[in-house]
Amino acid sequence: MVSMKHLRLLGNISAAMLLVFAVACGPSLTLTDVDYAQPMESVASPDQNGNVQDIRLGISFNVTDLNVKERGEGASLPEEVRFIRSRDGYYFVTAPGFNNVYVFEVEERALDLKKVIRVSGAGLANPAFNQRSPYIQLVDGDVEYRLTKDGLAN
Amino acid sequence: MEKLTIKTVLATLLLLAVGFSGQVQAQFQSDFQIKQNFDRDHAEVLQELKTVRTTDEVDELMEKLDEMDSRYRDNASMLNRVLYPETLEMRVTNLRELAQATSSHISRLGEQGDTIVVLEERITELTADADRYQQRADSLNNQLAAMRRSRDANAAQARRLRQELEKRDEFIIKMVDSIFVAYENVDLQSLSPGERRGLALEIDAQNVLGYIESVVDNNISFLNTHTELSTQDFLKLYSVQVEFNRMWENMGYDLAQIYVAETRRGDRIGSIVEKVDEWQMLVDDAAWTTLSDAFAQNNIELAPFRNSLEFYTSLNTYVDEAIARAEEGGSDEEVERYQNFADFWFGSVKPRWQEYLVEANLMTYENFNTIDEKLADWKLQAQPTSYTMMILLGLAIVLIIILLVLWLMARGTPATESRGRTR
Repeated sequence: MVSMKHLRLLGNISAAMLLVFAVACGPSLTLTDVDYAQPMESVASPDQNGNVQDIRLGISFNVTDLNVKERGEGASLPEEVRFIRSRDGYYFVTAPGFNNVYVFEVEERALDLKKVIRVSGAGLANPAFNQRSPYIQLVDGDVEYRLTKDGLAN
Repeated sequence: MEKLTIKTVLATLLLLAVGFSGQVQAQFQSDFQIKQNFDRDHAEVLQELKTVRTTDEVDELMEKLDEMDSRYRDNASMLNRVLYPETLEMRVTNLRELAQATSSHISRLGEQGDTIVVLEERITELTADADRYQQRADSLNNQLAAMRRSRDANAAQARRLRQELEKRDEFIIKMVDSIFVAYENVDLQSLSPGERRGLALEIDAQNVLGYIESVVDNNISFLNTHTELSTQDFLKLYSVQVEFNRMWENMGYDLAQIYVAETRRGDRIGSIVEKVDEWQMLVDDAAWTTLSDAFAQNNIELAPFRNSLEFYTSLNTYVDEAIARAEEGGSDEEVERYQNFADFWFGSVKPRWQEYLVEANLMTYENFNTIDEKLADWKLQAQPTSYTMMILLGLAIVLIIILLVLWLMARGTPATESRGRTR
């Protein structure tokens, strides 16, 4: 014989299940095949506060912390910063004199460091990014590096 | 031979090394740098297009464009993306079209420049002649002034001097006319303000306006001081004025275009226009007054007239009224009136004035023909009915009566004979 207590429990379980279904069936949409590839790198000079921007692409960020990480506290800002966005949407950033290329993931009003790719021991002389999907090509004089968000591709 | 072979091999290796390094260099070129180079080359060509002066320079630029096009062709895909919404092809095509337009513009300016150079030479040549005429005119004007002071001055002398001045006026009118007819071939609209100013200065330097003004001044002065000239002289002056006006109206617009930016020169043209109007008024007044006087002196009372239309209307009215009068009955008086008019018309007006009246657009040959035809009609109608005609008319009536009687008699005879046979 099913008691009143059991019936109430059954009712509560049904309500909870309905709620779960309702949440699961809420508005959800994912667009695919997104290509974030920036056709050409941006070259920007940091202002006195360390901000760089590309007006055409509508992006700006501060490179002070990046410079500290690369060169240490008190180091002067580089004359120019070069950055490019890969097809996957990651930003690759470097500058002349840097030994590394920094890979950033886009967050809400922030760029989150995902990977540091070491490319030089004595500092890059004249680095330049090229979009070569699925890679990002870094050239420095006669040297070429193929980069992905995870590091050197070769 | 062996050394040569080693040298050849070394040279080949060197070439290969250079070629390889070049390839490497090209392989790792920065897209950003390529875009910057393209922007720089594009700006350079654009700048050069602004400063080119010859079609040869434009041709060189076209070659440079071809080379630029092929140099960046391999990077077209990347450039198309970064130049969006334009493309590499659009940029190069735009530059080519601009170069072609510049080339056409330079060619056109060159043709106009040639025309202007020829014209300037012509002006120099003609103004030398005009100077010579000017000196002669000054001397003649002095003589005229002396004559005016002298009581011995007479119309014949004035006419002689006037003829001399006329030659000069005619020359200057033709000179200015020929210059401006040629200037009409230059598209003044397409000249830059600087070029127009140059043209204006050139015309001013040669003092073309000065010559034009002197023609007007001379004529005004002459008309103001010589009222004793004949109708023929005044009609001749009238035709000169009409010819001058035609020339002035043709070139007035061009002059305004050339001098548009120069207020002072604009005033100068305004002053010449005023003088031309004064000249026209004086010659108009003198011509119609002497013409009217000439008819009156020959006992031909025309209705008053002050212009060509009124003059022609007066002539027609006069002849039409005479014809209407004669139609009511010819008479010796009418014949005499006709003869008086015909003598003046065929003896003075047509042989001496017709040419100038037509030249000055005051009358046409058709107008003269119309009057001639009416005169023929007037002559016919004016004749009085003669006695011979009356006698002939009487004889004709008598003859008709006789013939009528004979016919009636002939008709009566057969009827009588027929009645006799019946009985």
